[in-house]
Amino acid sequence: MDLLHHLLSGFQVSLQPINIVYCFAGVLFGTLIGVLPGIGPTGGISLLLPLTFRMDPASAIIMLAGIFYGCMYGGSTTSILLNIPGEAASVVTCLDGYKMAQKGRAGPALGIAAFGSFIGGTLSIIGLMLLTIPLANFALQFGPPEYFSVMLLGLTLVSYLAGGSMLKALIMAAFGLLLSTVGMDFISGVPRFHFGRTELVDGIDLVPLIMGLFGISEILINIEEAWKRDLVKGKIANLLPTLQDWRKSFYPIIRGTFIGFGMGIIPGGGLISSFISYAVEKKVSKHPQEFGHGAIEGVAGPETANNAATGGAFIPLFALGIPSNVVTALLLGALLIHGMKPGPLLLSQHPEVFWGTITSMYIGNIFLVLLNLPLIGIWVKILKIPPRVLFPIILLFCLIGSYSINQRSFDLLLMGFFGALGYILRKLEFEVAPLVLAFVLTPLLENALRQSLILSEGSFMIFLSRPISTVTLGICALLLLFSAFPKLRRAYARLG
Amino acid sequence: MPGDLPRRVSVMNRMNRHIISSSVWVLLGVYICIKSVDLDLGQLSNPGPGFMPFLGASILMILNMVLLGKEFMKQGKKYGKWDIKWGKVGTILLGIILYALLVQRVGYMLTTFFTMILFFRVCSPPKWLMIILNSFVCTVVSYLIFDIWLNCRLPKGILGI
Repeated sequence: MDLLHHLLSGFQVSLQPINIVYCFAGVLFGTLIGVLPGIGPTGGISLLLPLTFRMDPASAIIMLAGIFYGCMYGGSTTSILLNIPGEAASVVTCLDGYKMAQKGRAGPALGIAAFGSFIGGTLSIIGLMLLTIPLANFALQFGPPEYFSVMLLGLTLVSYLAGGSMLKALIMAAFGLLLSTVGMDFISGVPRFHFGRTELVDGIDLVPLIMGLFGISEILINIEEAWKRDLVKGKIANLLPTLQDWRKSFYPIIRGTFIGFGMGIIPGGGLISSFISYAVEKKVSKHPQEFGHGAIEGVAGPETANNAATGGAFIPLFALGIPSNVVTALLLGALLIHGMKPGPLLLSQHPEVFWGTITSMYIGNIFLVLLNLPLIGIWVKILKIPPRVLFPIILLFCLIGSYSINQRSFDLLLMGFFGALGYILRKLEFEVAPLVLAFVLTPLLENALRQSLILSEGSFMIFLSRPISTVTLGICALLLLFSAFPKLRRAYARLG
Repeated sequence: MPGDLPRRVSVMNRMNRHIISSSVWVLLGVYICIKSVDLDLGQLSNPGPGFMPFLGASILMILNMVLLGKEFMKQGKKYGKWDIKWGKVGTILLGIILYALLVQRVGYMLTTFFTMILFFRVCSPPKWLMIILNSFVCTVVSYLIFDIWLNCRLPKGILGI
């Protein structure tokens, strides 16, 4: 009964006309960003975050969440039609989706991707609804040592699952930690590393940082490459999958839902959920040789997984106040900007934000199926917009977005600095995602660490004397060893 | 001579850009550690404002020393040319800097118009009529959306526009 009551109150928030508009705007922008390769949900949320400052918190999160799962839908379109992933999680869809399109089956590929995403997204929202409250109640037992350990695990996992070197990912996390210490120390009131600039006394703003690292640097990387696009030709027809397509896709969709939802909860896991789903489908298939040549299971499973992961990703954010990936880190930043502190108390203090967001996700998933299938012709036209037109527009968005926060030129200079830095870091094969996650988490991490040390009168044993903290730190240590051990073994062999 | 490096290989490639970048990180770490001590590390039972930066900088230094060690063990490995189109990249960054310095004085409309001309020129072939038209449209549309509709209060500048 409680759940029903909460759902009804959530619908009261999400069905307000203005919130329906924001939800629709979020999923529309998200789909557009997902369709256009090169931006991704992180860049999209960065660009649109300043627009939400004038909204109330529930509306802001509804719109930003819409962008997040909208991107997952939109990413499949460009993967299937262009063989270029719209965002990282859609890489796998290129393997079979594009092959299906080349065989004249772009319609069923797009259709099954949309329906699979809808089913995975909807079921993951149910999971989100059912699991968040018990987890939040459990998290009420957390003290500073537990919070510190869980946040450290989040950073370690994101670094472990980073595409490149874990060592470089950890370096980025350390650098993000340092960037976050710029500004006033919240306990002593002492300004740190502001170099005499009053603009830095309050710290580095999140928006110029992410716009520089994701928006500007992405453009700088992309203008170096001559963009070649092989857009699948011919009319896209038969968007509704056949009965045989459904028969082949049914179990991949179910499996993809569970894989995506489970991986989405784990920090860093959402990014690889589609890869795991693809690997599982290939393993269990009676015709694994068809994978890579247009197997519909290779589209259904991964696309379901990456949408289901979005629901799972919200669980640690709402229940613990800990983001599980860069996108939810930005949502955490957005909640903090709006004066909300995510965590177990958010559900009791601001239930309209939590339940409003959940119910809006149901509505948003319906919008997405309606947007992605009938409007496919429009998305195809958008795919034809040349980069030489798109890139300057994105740059303009970045300029306006950074300026509009505080109406300060300094923020523009900061954005330019991070844009240059992000470009150089990418050239040196550093991933910037751990940097942003660490930047957002560090104020909470520092608070938890200092409180723990005050409680224990300076003893680090406090982290090992509490079971949750011990287990969590143990997992961190194991991950670091797993990463280092193969290299240690090779180094030993070389010395011998 | 066979085996000689081509003359145009940059210093960065010969010295291994990864060794240089790791060295920079280590120096940054050293600097932050020194400054953190000035901020006051406090005691373990009551950490001061310098504690977290010192911890972060120490971790940064240690990780980069490990990376340096790995890179030195890989000496002899030839890295590809560090391909950077300095012209395009530098022009865009310069455009952002100039925009930052001028937008509040000159005003949003004019600064944006000329900056967009720069950006469009970098990204596309020199068809000036199209570049000017696109820049004009982007400036006006963005002004209508962000200043008039969303009330972002973009700067008017000395010309009042």
